Amino acid sequence: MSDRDHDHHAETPEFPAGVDVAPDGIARRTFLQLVGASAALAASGCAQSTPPEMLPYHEQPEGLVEGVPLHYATTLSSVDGFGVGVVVTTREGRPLKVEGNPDHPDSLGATHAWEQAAIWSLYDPDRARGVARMQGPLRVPATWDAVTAALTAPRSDGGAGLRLVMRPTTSPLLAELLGRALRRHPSARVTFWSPLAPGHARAGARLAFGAPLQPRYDFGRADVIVALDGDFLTRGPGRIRHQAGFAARRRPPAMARLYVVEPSLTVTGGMADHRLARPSGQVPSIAAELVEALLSSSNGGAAARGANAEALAACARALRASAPPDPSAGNDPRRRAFVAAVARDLAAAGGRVILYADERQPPLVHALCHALHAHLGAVGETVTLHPSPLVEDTPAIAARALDIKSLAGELRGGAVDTLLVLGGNPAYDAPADVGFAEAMTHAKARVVLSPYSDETALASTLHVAEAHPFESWGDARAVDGTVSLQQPLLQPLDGGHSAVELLALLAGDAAPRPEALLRARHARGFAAALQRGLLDGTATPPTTAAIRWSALAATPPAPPPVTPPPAGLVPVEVTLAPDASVLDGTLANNAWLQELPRPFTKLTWDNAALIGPTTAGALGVSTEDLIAVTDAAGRTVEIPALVAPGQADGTITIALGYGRAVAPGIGERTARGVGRNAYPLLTTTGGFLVKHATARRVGARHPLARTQGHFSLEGRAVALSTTLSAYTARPVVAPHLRGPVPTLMPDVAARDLGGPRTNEWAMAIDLSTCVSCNACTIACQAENNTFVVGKEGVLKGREMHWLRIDTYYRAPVDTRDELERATDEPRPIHEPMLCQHCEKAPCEYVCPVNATVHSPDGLNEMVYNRCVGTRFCSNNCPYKVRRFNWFRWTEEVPVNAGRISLQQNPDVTVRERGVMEKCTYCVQRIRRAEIAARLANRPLADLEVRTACQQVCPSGAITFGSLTQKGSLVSRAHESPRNFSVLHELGTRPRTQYLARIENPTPALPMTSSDKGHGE
Amino acid sequence: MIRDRGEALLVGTPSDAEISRELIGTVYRPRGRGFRLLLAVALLGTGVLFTCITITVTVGIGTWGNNIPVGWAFGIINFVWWIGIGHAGTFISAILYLFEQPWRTSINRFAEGMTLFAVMQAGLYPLLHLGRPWFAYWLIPYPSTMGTWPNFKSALPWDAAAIATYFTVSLLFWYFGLLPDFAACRDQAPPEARVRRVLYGLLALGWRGSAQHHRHYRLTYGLLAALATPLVLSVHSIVSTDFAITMVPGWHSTIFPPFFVAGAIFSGFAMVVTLAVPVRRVFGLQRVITKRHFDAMGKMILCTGWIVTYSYIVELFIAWYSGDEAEVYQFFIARPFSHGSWVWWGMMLCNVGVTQLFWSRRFRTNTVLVWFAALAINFGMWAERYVIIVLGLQRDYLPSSWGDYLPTWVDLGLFGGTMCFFLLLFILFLRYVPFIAAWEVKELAHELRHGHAPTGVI
Amino acid sequence: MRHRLFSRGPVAGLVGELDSPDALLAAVRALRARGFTKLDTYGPFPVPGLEEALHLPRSGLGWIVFPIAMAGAGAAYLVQWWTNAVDYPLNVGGRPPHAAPAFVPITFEMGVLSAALAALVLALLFSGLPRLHHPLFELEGFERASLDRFFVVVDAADPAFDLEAARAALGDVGALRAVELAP
Repeated sequence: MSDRDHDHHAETPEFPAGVDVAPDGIARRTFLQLVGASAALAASGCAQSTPPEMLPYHEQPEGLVEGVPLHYATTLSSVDGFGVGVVVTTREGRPLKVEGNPDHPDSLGATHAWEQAAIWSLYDPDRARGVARMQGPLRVPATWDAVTAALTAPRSDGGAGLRLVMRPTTSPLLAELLGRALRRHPSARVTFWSPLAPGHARAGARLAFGAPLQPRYDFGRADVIVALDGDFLTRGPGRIRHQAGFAARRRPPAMARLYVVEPSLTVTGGMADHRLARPSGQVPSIAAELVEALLSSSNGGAAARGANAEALAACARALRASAPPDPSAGNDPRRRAFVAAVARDLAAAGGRVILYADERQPPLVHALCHALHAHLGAVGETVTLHPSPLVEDTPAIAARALDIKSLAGELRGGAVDTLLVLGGNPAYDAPADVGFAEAMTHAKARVVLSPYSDETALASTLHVAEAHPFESWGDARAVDGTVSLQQPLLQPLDGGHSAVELLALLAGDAAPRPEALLRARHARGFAAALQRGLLDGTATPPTTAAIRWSALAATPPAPPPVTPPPAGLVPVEVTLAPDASVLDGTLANNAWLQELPRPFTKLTWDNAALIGPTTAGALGVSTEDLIAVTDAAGRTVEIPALVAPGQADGTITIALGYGRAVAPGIGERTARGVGRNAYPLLTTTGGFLVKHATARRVGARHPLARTQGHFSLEGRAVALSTTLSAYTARPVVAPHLRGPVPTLMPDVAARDLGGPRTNEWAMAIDLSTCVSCNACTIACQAENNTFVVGKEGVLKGREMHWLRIDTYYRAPVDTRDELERATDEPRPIHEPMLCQHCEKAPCEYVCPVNATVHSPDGLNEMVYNRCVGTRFCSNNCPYKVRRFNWFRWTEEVPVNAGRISLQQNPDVTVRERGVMEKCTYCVQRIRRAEIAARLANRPLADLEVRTACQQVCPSGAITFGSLTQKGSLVSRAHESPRNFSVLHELGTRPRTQYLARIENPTPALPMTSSDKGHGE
Repeated sequence: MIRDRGEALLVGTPSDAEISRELIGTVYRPRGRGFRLLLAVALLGTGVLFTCITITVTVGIGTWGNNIPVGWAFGIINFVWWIGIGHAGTFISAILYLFEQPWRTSINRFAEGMTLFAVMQAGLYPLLHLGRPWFAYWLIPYPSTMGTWPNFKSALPWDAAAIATYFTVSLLFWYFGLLPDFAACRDQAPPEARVRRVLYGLLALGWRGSAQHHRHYRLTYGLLAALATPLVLSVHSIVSTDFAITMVPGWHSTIFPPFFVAGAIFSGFAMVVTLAVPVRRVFGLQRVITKRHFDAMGKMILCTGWIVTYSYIVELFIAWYSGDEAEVYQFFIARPFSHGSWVWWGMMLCNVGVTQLFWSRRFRTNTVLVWFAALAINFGMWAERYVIIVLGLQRDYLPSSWGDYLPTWVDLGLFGGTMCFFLLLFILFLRYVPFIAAWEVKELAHELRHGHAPTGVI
Repeated sequence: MRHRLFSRGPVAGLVGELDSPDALLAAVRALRARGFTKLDTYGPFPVPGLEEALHLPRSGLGWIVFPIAMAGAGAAYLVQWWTNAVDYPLNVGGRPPHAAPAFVPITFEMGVLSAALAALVLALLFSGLPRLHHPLFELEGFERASLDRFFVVVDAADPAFDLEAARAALGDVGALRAVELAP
């Protein structure tokens, strides 16, 4: 870094100078000085400035005690622009762990995997550094002045040649700055682009209400939920709150009923009581049938609200017309029965219903959902409508907005001389028919703000490294409009900058100070908000917008796009989806997310073409065969097939975000060469739905690294499930899988050996509410310093996750290669599997050196330093939850070494090569709580110790506590009639026990033979 | 032609001098080209072995194919296989000695040698398969600074004790039996070989064959034999507990100890045959190692082979009878049909199928056919350990954690390497040690001459 | 017990060389018949019946080895019990710290090991080995004692020792030669 940068920082006195030293090879001591100082700032709410020179702690910074973690409330913005309030734990100034902010309406104290993984991105060694002029793929270091000059320079043309590209955002601060910038450049235009932007949802809202209102769902109040190709549990604004509310209604007796229609298994589909696997293209007509069924049904309330009936019928007609001719519709008894059942339940639910559609569905389906909510009286009951918090929906800015296709046109037309891209990666993820990568090169000056030297950055002339949210000031809104603040936890490791700074420059502020700007924007209660994380009273009251029935009734049927598929090729409907881990590719360089097993497929370090068994047969492909998928326009993607249960016939689902074309050397090394790029199939017209595509077998094969290879229960009672009716008829689900096991051996407990009488730690996991969102797996990884092993490691079966989520398909399947025979109704069940801390642990007595023994408080302890690595314990563990350090992972997988080691939790030993490891029940958290209690001279309260997986779980599926504490949640859970032990018959007496999954199918639909589940 | 019953144990009426020339003389014969060639091959392979050991220790156990769930694989397979091979030696020299089987005399010495070298190979693996081999000594109870001790409930310390004991006792037994022949080497040394004369002299400890010596010698030899006998049975029983004490489907079985012992002797005799046939040909020992010996060993193979076969049947029955779904799946689906099941079929073919050939006396006494059959059995018994260990671990209780195993080149290098190391030790033994107990053969000849040979039932 | 050969006197003893185990046996019997008691024989293998002919008592080695074996086994069990159940008891898989059945294998193995070691060491001691040099080795042709010849030695310390008588006796039993041993 040059001195000039120091000058720049000297202008921002709340930041000590010299803090943005090059991070690579950074001395740990120096680093700690840096973060120490910034921690001091954060601790003091960043209210006062600190002396300019850097010194080690010669006097203790206020609020910082070595060894004592500090927690800061801040905000992470999702790809859709909505904020999730989080609390970040720092140690000696190093951010270590992200937790949800209980006060935040869209977090409620929990997070999803992406928030957990943000910490890895913070220390990502591949992040771009400082400011640079791009000469081809070469980054020539430049100074901040270059940016200042480029953006503050007054323009003669009033900004006619100036174009902005931003990710969708809800930030009030950005809205204000953007407004100022646009006022300064009256002719400038702004484009909001993200492939995951809720475009159709907003269009649908416009259709229904005339304004892009933001619906806010309360799944906790819904009795009947219908997901029309919509994954509300892990997608879209409010996903975490959705999951919490949904989970609340999956516990008997007051259970909601979930119907799902979707082409490919999603997290939501996996929880369905009734799931109909149909192509996305058929969903509109299914919706239409649903409407007609409702209107015709006697108690459908049609009579009551006859005025609306006509409009609804019109919508249905329009949908039918827009949908492709669907021959199967007529003779599809399951579909008809399904629709009838849904209609009956909806009508009977008295407004306690939610219909949810996703971006793959046309706006009209979204509009229909709104209409039905109104029609059935759900508005105010389960759905409230709020003014859209998105910046692009504020009238002043909406007037200046420009869609990405027109922007590309202008660029090609040469009308644009300066293109300013504030985040996002349009050169990679813009639709194929936009051709943005080529188009942007027409602009003379291309200033790009992005955290990596990604595709867009490489096509820029001036690249500004984007600071991580934990390094910069900002704010964001929740679904209900609540504003939460984003505060820096440490200095930008790579001298990055934020969109706030750039927009401020563009607005004419030559020396922007983000903190001051933010403080000015939220003058009232700022300091308090820094402590609490959010500004009180910023939630917007629900609007009482009425459906514009007349407009809906007048909806013209959009003519269906008809492109006959080329003869001789297997026609398929391709549905694109954001990847469960890397989303649209923004997180592609995050090793934690790359190695996180995707739900259902358990695929890591790759994306694949999910393909139904029948279609696979027609194509003559099996898993790992490369197939070529070609859309109507002839754009082709070559990608390995993965035969997936629950995939609708004639459909292929491909995850976006892979096949990143990053430059060698300076690009994203972790993302390079991982997966195949599916964006060539994304178009502005088709969106995520590619109709009339074709697929053929290529011949080559491509190994897929999956953490689970066998999905059949083999009739073994390891993951129990039953129906609500059966459960209420006979409460105790599995009397034979609980309680004591007869044994000839004397009962030996730890305290018999003189150990102190203390707690007896135990865990209970509720299979009814586990949706396999993966948050726990990655939270455990972040908490316990678990290394990644890379694709090679996963292929060899050496992944290190202490907590895995087993997924089984309960549908009867073939024993050897179940995937080939799987039905489209696989009936999945998820079972988080971690060390069961057995009272009679099989792993312990086989260890020759006493390296794994039992603690007096019932923990199965792994003594790393004593372990010689015989792996006998793992062989004898029936749950196979032990993980072995086959290599020194920091050597074998370099991404584990270097800067990420700053993330490691000092309370948890980093394991050496050749030793066994496994879940410890977060013993470090237990001991910390015990010490705190002892200091305060009081007993431990229930739930005072919370394991990482328990704390992060949005469903609250995991309960942890002590059995000796009377009435503790966990002891009550162990008493629950749903409680059972996995492999109880082995007599291992696991302390981690499970609550059987209860499902709530309607008696109206016939049950398949396997619906009975176990334990009945 | 001296016979006791059936085939001759000793062809012709060799005088003691002839016997000495034939059996002791081998030590002083000039080295041929064949020997040098063999030595080169063995040295090369041993080099590969130590290269792979270096890689394993420096890079990590990850260079092997092991994974979760297959925590044990080639390492333990080879360990059990070599230990098993080691069993015939002691069995022949100890048990057959106690049963006074005259036919043991000509083959016991190199059977014992084979035992020693096999156990040495076996001993390598338990060390190497550790994640941190440099801490292997933690299995020994010594007062450590942390005050911790080994856990004697685990089968691995049992293993360590058993292997150590077995190796030591076999070594003593072998060396003690060699004393008179070392003396013979000393006394028969040609003038030019003074150095070796001195060396053999040292090894002979001044043995003079005095009646006073023999008096204690005979008793001690019998005593060692009596001690080695339960060892043969205990060692592999204890090795089998590495599996039997666990709850892994296919491991958790009380039949393992006898099953393993039988298998060990089965493979051990196969290995003796594999070695005896070429040795007999190369050194022209047709009159000392006669068809009668192959006949007898063939019968042992047939008998132990049937015990093994019986065990397979019992395993299947118990699996079915237990009604344990994991056991049933393991034996009736995983082993015959899942990933790597061809090894199971190979095991059945070699251990059950090939064994039946030994019913025919003409087959048993045809050294060429017997040799190939023995090779097949050696593979079959290796396959058996693969089936138990790898196929067992690949499919255990939770279907979600089922995984498959493939060896790496390091695994193969180590396996081939130990074979070459074994070969190296064995040919050096053939070269520099009287590999047939000359004094016992003389005694046998004497007894046969007088017709009061102990005619044990074979 | 070391046997005292060639103790004192002008002649240490008389060595007779024979060419077959039977001749040896005959010679020994004849010499004993003539009242010689301090006899020893040398040969490539133990000749059946020889020990009886020499009136050698059965070796008492076993009586010493057995207690040593028991001691070894006992020590092994004690070590396991003390380390696992007394000095540092741990809850290992909920199993009792003093798990007698689990201690059996090592106990047994250590018993066998100590027995074998004791047996070998004692056997050597009793036979007076190792003893790398011995006057008999000076005797021309004695090296064939380990090959195909048999020697009988009449010790001069024998109260009944009479050089001529012994020589005659050996001649009668057809010794190839009878050599006097210089002290």
